[in-house]
Amino acid sequence: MDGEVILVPICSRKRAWRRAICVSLLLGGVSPLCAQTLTAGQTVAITIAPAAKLNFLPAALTLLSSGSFSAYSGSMTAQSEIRTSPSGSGSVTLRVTSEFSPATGPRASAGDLSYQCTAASYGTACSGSVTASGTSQTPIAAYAGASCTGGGSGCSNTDPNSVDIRFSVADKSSFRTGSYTATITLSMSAT
Amino acid sequence: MRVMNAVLRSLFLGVVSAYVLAAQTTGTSTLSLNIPAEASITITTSTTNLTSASAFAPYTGTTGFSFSIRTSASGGTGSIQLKITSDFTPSGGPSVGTPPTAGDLLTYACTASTGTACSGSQTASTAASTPVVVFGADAHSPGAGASGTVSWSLTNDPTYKSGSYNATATFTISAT
Repeated sequence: MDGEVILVPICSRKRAWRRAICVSLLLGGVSPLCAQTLTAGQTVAITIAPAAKLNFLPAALTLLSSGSFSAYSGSMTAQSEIRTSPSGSGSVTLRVTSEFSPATGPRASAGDLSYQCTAASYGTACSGSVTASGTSQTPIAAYAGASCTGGGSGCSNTDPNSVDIRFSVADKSSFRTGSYTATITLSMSAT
Repeated sequence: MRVMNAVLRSLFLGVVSAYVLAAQTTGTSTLSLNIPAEASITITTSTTNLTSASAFAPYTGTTGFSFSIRTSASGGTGSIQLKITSDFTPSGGPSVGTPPTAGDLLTYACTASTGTACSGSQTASTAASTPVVVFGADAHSPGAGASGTVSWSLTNDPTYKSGSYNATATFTISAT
């Protein structure tokens, strides 16, 4: 939910009843004792909640090796929009939700999959090489309180925000030849 | 009563607001890669000096190499071969392609930590590649790489003119 607007009319029933009388009198050509400006007070209350939106390109990534026993690598870009509360925070994290299969090749559980985060347009990208895990979330980007996307002036200058993720899989001679696929899940949260 | 309703409504809205003060979203992607048969080799002895232990004893020396290899599980093969790609120079000394005396040979023996090393004594050639190591299907060198050696022996023919001579041996590794 991006935000919630609550309109709370506080025009009283008594005032509305008087307005009805005035309208009737005016229509009847009676001197407008009621020639006053009627106002209806209204309180507009809005609750802007923390929000997070995430997309990444490409949706499926093929990792390529540049030569014999050189690591397989490839990059994707995570695009996001975020709003955190002044005391809140936000994050983008990654987890390997489906291990490489078949099991005769690289294994995330053996530390064969790692990544680096670069070119973060907003927030703080992960530093160095991070070993992806199937059991815990690992960092992609972190956002401080009062973060917001687009428009500058404290918010990011770009919309969406983006961070590049470069994946790397070691090319070990122990891997059997063949095609291997794993599934990763990126999660984004904001408070 | 109306006031009470407003208060209750505010409390209710407050609860709802607190409930939505967090957001989370996820997405999934697939990572794919294709691992082919491949091989690499590094000669760890860039220059091998052949020396003779005594008068007219063969010149001998050892060349070391390290390699990595992965062959296909189904029908894959691999090999390391060598060929003398530049014969001894200058002329007047030993020659692999045109030995001054019949029977002058550059021979070698092999060792390898992975695969099957060549057996016995092999004769090097300038015309054809000769075996060093062969690999079968689903061959894998260790993660740290494998190693091997070629121990050379060159006839010490009295007809060779004295001097220094150089030749180049090229090692080739392949995997399918």
